[in-house]
Amino acid sequence: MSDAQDREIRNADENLADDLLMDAILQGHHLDQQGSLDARVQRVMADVNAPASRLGISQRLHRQISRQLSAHRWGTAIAATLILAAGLATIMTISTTPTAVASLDQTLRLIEREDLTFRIELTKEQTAGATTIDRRFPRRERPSRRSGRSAPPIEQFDGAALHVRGPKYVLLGDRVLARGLAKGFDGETHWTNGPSEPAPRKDSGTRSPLIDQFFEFVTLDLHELIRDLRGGYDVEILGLESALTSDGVERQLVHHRANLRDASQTRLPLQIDLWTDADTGRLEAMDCHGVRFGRRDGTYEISLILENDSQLPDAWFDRQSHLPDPDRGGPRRRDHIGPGVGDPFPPPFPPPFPPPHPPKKNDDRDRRRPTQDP
Amino acid sequence: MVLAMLRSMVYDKNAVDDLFQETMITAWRTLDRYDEERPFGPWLRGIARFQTLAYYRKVKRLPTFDHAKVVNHLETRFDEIATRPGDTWEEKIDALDDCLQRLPEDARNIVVLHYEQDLTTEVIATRLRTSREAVKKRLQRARARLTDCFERKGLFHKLEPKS
Repeated sequence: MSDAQDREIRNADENLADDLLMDAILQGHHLDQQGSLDARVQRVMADVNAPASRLGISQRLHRQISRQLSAHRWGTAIAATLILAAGLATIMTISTTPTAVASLDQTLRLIEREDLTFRIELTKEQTAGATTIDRRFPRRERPSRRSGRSAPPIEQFDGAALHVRGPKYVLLGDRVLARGLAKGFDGETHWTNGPSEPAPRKDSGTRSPLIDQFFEFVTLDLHELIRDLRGGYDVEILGLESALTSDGVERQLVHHRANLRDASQTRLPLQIDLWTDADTGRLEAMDCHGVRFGRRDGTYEISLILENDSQLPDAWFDRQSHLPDPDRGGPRRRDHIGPGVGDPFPPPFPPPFPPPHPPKKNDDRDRRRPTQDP
Repeated sequence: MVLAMLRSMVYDKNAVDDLFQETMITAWRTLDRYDEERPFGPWLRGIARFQTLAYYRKVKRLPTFDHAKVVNHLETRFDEIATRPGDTWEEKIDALDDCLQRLPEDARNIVVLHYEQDLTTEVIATRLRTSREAVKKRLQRARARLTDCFERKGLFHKLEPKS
């Protein structure tokens, strides 16, 4: 190849690179203006300086990463993940009560081993009333928490489903505006699918606030984050609580409460309540109180309520299984991977709640269950 | 800057979001391997570059251009931008607004339609009663004008003219 040809090709590549770069700059110019600096991310990243200090990494370096993260909404997503994972992880690892630690360790092992599906409820703290366990076991008396409540965008994720299998997870939006939004981790890749319908845009012309808020929504990538995150909660077991399932089966639940040691660390939930099955240690419900979303006023309570522990198909954690429409590429695997042709995938959960312990192979829980007085 | 680099290399916006997250998580997990004596930006962009290659391998679809040469030039451009004053990406490319204002009206309009109002080239073509290819060409020319403007303002070094 002659010098002239080589130079011409090089210029063509350079021109293409410049064109691609300017395209990226223009995209970013209009997409990234809102929330470009999220103070919450800065706070989270400042907190995770602790493990980095052990690695000998400087504060300057962390400010750089923090700046990178805060310049994009994914930063907020990661921050939200860190916050709630830290909340749960730390109470499982740093506790002042050895019994509580042992109990929650078992809970963690089960989270890693079983497929669990949680319903997520999101409530402004001012309207919070009943605890999560009242909703898990509906026969308990509880006030209505939803009447007369308007639904800001973030609350559109009230009712979202979180499917967890060890480090894998899928978070699916539920309400009309959030339908089709899906975020997950398939064990190798974090993925995101947009909504099936175009979401409304803000007056500023930037992208929908709903989508952005979806990314800062809770996910529980416990397996990966537990090792790295440390915080400061005091955990205690408040005691055993009896509860009835919808079909009248009495359950014994261990109620744990974790209180943040340093209340000035407002990025973390101030208090977390967990209910675990007394026999198996399985997490049945969790309330995170005092969760902040970005710069929004007020705090939210995020609740995870176990809805199902049925095994999910392996493909459930793949992005392809949650593509909202066929023209996004690839076949709609949900149409033919489910339990049977024409069946929804996965099968709908039996309303309103499944029996507490559906029979399983090698399940010795019944032998271990203490006799209950009626 | 990492995000801009990913957007330059990957067309799928959802994939860009995923790759950005993967890049940040990888950077976080491998911080102990980072040599503090070296600049941070290129190290982070190196991770983004690696993640992008992994993405293309995974989707089994290679970019239509000479990936290495294009990415090398992108690296050069990002290095040039990195030397600009300012802490944030927006501060470093603050000349963009002025350059946009200096675009001819028709070029500025089409940039607004595509990037600000997020209209596809097909929709713009219908609206302007022209072909999609013509819209793409006009967008490309507008971007080239902006690149020239960046060169005039010293953000980019000027390219050697073709022989």
